[in-house]
Amino acid sequence: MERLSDFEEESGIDVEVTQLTREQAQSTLTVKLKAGASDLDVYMYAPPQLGLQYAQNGWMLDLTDRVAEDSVFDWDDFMPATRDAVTFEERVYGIPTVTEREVLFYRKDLFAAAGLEPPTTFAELEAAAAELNQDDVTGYIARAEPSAAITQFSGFLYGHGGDFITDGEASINSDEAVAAYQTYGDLYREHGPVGLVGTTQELVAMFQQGSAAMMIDAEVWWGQLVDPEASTIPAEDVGVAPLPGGSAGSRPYNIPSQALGINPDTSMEDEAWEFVQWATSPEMVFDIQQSGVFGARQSVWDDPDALTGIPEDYRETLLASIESGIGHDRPQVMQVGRARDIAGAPILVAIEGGDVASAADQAQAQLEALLAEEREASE
Amino acid sequence: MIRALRMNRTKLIMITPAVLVIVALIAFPIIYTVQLSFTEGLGSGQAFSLDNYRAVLSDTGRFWPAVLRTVIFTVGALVLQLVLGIGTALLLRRPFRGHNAVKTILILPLVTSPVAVASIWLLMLEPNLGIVNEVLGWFQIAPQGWLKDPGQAFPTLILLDIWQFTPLIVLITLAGLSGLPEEVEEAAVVDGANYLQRTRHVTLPLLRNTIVVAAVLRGVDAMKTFDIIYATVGPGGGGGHTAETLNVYVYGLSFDYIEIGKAAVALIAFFIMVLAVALLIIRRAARE
Repeated sequence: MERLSDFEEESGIDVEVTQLTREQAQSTLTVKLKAGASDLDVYMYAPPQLGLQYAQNGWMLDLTDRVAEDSVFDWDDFMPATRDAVTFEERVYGIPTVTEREVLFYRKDLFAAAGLEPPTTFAELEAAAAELNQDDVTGYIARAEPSAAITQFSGFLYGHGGDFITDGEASINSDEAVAAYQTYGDLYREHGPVGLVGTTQELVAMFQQGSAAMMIDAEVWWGQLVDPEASTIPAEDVGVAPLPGGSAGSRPYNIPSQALGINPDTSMEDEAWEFVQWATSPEMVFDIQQSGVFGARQSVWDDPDALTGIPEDYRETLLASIESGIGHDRPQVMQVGRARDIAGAPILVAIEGGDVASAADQAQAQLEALLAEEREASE
Repeated sequence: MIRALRMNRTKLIMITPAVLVIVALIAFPIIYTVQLSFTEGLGSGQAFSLDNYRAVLSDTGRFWPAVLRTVIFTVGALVLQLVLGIGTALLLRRPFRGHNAVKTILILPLVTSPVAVASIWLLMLEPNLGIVNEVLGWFQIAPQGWLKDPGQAFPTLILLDIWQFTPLIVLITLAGLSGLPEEVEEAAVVDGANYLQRTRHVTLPLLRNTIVVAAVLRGVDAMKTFDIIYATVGPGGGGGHTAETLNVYVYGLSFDYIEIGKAAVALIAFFIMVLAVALLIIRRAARE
């Protein structure tokens, strides 16, 4: 934000920024774009949640030619998984700005006291959670409210070798998916907290209070976990490790959680693109990366200077997760909200110790119906 | 005669702008919602169709359970609030030491914003760090999930609503009580009626209109509850949608699923429900 005046000076363009919380931004944006408002030029959006819908509805300016023409901008520098996430039917609609991966946070002091190493497989994760689960410390915490948990569940699904949708067909009742639901639910029920955790803020509070030995979520929360103002846990006791894996190895998501898009109804197309170019330039991404918000440019990730200031285990986890990461963390459909509810239902059944296979069958049928509906609508 | 007519016309002309503004502000959104319910939503230019109605009214997974939950929430909260509220008001009727302090404390939940109420209770009822489970632990009671447990969230929300809005009934009833003629009750005392008899056969019947007004106001308000539910269990009524009322369902359809047309259908159903309940209560009260 403080760099904004540089851009205004260089370009002679006045920039007016509106900051909103994620939910507000999503509803405001959707209503504005749907109504064809022209008072919006550039917007930040979440590609995994909104990308497909916005693209199909024509709410994003096609940037394909602009990124191809500009050699300084260097589109190929953006990590392939992040490019995929903003590309639909081979047209580019957004420029990734912030990326995120799923990692395991753990308490180094508790692990050392128990003589444990950070788990690398789901089986080891379960064993460690069982051992560390004591009266005043919960062995393992993660999101459990089904719709919110979908993204964190995705790494379990990929680790077991499954996916939400395979070759355009729903695949959430495959053997791999059922095993993933089972793993996710068993861990939470046997070694997790009381009640269904809905948001990461709740997890962070538990970790900060020292009442959790392990926590799985996106790495962006690291800063809060080691914040001496908020946390009772010394920063040196907060460990970061790659997400444990199953038969398919460690397969966390590696997604562009935020990207910039341009409103097709703007009257300032060129100015908007100039701003996007500036905000996602290598220099800018480098600066932002140093402040702990990780971007999408490979060249910045390759630059050893861009990851200074964070501990070694965190740095290595990030690099490993980029290597093995999958470019989506939820079903890739138009109506992501609906799909999250559908694919999330078996998570709740698994946590409650119910019949996971039949819940997965039911979810599969609903997801198939949703996909069929969307295919029909796009034809 | 002519003068009277002229007076009337002047009156009419004077109030017309206000009536027009009210009609525009109230009628337009309603007509627009009805129009949305027959199309796909904003600017889609789609032809008139009944698809939205078919889809919503046949949704036994979420729409009908949400309708049922709205009814249970309203009836459950309202009945308990009336019983507790009227009872408390009767107790507070006679002045005693600290009378005013008690009244002030009673009003506190009422003047607190629902989101603040939600935050406070979320913290206190937090299953792993909250004070309530901590206290239960002293008595060897296992920690409960409260708002975070799909099975407990909805009853807990009804309790929160009762906690917050019972004082409203207390206040309205107290106001009604203070306006009651004393002679009637004195006469009952002379006739030898005891306290319970006087309350049941004299005070409560005299309070009837006050109670009806309180019930309509609170009932309609309870049906429309959104803030505290959204702020505690989040979008979709929490895990498994077990605390999803109609209002929360409509919000989810509009902003999570972006199904504006279907949301409009659910809204119309909701509007009819609220209107029907309000009319029913007022009609019955008027007849008796």
